[in-house]
Amino acid sequence: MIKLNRFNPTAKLIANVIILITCVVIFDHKTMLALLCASILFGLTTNSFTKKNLKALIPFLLFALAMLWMNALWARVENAQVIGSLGPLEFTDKGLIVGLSLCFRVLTIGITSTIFTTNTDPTELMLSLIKQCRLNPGIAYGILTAFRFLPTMETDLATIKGAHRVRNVKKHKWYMEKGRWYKYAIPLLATNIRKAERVALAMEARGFENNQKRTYYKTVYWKKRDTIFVLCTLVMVSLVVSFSAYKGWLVGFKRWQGF
Amino acid sequence: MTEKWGWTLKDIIVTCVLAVAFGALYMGWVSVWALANGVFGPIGLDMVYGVWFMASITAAYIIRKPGIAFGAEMLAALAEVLLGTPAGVSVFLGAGIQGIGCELIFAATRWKNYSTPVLMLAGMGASVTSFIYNLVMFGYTKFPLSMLLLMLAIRLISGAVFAGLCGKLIGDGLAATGALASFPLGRERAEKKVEV
Repeated sequence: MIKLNRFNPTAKLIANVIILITCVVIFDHKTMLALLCASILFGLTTNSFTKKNLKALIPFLLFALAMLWMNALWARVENAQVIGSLGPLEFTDKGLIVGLSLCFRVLTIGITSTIFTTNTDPTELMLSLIKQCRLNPGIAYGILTAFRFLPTMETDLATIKGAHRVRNVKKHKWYMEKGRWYKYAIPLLATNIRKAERVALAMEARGFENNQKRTYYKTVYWKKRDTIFVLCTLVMVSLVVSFSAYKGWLVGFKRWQGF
Repeated sequence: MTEKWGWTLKDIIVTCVLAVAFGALYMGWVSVWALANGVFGPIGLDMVYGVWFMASITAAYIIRKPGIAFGAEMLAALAEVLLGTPAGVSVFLGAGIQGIGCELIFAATRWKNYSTPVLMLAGMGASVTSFIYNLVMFGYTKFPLSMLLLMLAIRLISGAVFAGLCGKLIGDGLAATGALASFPLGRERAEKKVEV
């Protein structure tokens, strides 16, 4: 079992970017399916699929399936043969292949990203972004601070609902109500902007500046194993791609006849 | 970076808070997209797409400094990644492209004009750039031209209404509460009241 959370978050980001770029330049369904299987296998070996994750993937699955049938119906392909029909709708074989490759692309991106997000600690990601990607510490700490606001936003929302009830804000049927979301969103955002201003003042009072050189209590380093991790991803992806090129499946940018 | 554009710590923190709030909204909006997708197919995506530009426009409308539109969208993407979106790294790419679309429109007015038409145009700018991105990413190029034009038109409307108008509505609502007294939008409001 590989413990993914021991690697540098930036290394994982780079690995994700490699897969993303590969997905965008590949246009055939067999190579994409191989990549998808590889990423699912990797996810299984690192134990990163939980019920919550799989639920979050459902919209992606739906979008992938929609891409599949839309392309099978309407893709512009030459010499396509009709393989099935549903009333006036006709599905073509080549359209189906285009749809399949796009469907696998969306799923591969979804699954690799889920593996990344489940195995990365938010604070470590921010520290790594400061250290390795030169993100401005003001912005990084700002996001971490704002992230702490999320749980209190829920309590704020409950307070606002309570206040509405105390003042007897009339409830209409949903089609009569002009902006129910508006009545909640404005007070919620207003309280949080006020809070943000106070936090910014407090940070300045304690000597936190935007662009100062600073030291950190905890530093995320780039270690040898992170380089190895990135290289392993590169090797894995290029193995899959060269295998399909050897088999003659690969359709890259050059052989693709789109537009 | 922050010095050059004149962002203060207060601007950054407020943008971050807006970005996190909108990031949470963006995550929830995915399920609306899934619903629209189930009914209309990929065109459903174009109908609901405008909401994903709201952070840019609201933040730029309130803070009115160069780079805020782009920054807010990127920070919202970062918040989404921290919350654990299944779109992962591609969210940064998409957000960057949308942010550039908004920022370009504001840059064309030299970050001076924030009237309703400009805000709606900014939403439409993001629609155009994000559409080009989807064209490559999701292989829309295989669809017939008439369908592509229909999709683009729907997305333009969605960008103008959801992002432009709703973004302005939120900004105005916030200004009315007085929470924005120290921001350009709040100051503009106060000056207008004095004139009347």
